Amino acid sequence: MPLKRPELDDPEIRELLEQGMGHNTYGEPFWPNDILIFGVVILGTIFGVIALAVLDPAKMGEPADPFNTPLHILPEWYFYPVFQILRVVPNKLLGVVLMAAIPIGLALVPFIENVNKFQNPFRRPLATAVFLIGTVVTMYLGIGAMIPDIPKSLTLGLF
Amino acid sequence: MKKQWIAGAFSLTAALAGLVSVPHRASAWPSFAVGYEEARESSGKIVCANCHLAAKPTEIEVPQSVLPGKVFDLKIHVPYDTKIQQVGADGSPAPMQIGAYIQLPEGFTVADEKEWSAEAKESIEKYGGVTPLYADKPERSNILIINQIDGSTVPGQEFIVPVKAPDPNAKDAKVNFGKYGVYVGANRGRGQVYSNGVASNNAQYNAPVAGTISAVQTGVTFTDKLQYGLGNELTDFEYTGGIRVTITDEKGKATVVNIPPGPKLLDTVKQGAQIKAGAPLTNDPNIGGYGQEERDVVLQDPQRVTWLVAFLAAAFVCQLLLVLKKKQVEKVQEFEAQKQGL
Repeated sequence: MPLKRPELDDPEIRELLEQGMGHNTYGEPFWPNDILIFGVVILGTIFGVIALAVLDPAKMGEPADPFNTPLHILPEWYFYPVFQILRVVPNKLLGVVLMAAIPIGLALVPFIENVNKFQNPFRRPLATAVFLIGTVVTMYLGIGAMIPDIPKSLTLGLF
Repeated sequence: MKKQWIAGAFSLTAALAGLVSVPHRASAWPSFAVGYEEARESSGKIVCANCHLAAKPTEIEVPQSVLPGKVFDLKIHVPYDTKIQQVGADGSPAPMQIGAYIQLPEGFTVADEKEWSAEAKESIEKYGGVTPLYADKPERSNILIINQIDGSTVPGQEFIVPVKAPDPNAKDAKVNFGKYGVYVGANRGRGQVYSNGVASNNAQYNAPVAGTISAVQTGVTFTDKLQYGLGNELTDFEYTGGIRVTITDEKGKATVVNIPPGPKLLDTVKQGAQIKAGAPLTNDPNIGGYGQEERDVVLQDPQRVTWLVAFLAAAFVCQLLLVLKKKQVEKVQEFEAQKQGL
């Protein structure tokens, strides 16, 4: 499919929009319809949290020993992907540059496809692709950080 | 400065503790760990890794959660190629042996014989059973070893240990409900270093200095002082059929390397050959290795599960009522829309 700039005066897109595609058409009154479903979702979330807390409780950590470095050092979980970048890249400066590239790249995302008039993610292919690929790469790096052996962490032990 | 003092004091105490600890006559390797006050260091390393330098996988299996007072099976799989033989202490081929170090959570113990499952009973008959590592400390009966045994006699290279969970509701119980770690280290084959740091005949030998190999003698008999476990006396061990390599450096100083029988001399190691410091003199005869693994097990309170199920039922009824209410509201809305002619 050829890539073309989405325009509201494009007859093809207008036809799709008239069929209700690409727009949120399932609006409901907030009171009382949405509020009732909020209750269902809140109860479900609380139940999920409590069931996990009972069936798989958090483990009490071992006493800290300041004179002994653990075999596999790890930062807080939300730093895992960045930690993996630093660990894998052979050059320290390159690692720092790549680390700084993450917030810069995130700040760029809203500007990348700014010519686009639509807000629907399905009509913003570039922004959506950046988001999806970024998510997959982040998860890949985060899982890799948990594997102590570096070559194995790159393939996640799958190949 | 102060930090260094504290660190120094700590290492001194650790060293003293090592010296003073009661000598324990041990037959062989998993029991060597008894020389250490804590056989599992705070870094998570089990001390077996001090002597067994090669890394090999170890797999363990425990249930996700156990109820108090119940018996469950801990499975330890020590995979290796059963067709190969290792180098024995005298250099001759010997059957591969396997053994394990097991650290259960505090309060967990080996179950009484009448509580063993049929599977565990069968496995224990083959491998001979588990023994506490610190035999003189009953409060540490959660730390166990499986003494080394010819791996071919253990079916599937798998040890099954029946473990009894403690009951936190008992009167004098010291444990709580919660999640705990099970730490297992398993070995196959002999180690590369004796407790006093002397390399065994299951290790690769390297050139200590750079220079020219001035002599290679075979069939040499020599004695090494070996230590079998920390805190034990050094024992003289006589190797026969060893190799003696003499390396003369640039200044003409000769260094003698005694290689016990076991490792094979490399083809390049000949009289007159130049050698760099640290370059290998022999091959690596070791085919075994050590691996450690940890798994979490939840000591579960049956009462909590009961209340959880009760809460699930209540939450589900609430959700159901909310959905029904919404359906009712939607019907009213539809009726009113029709009335207004929408």
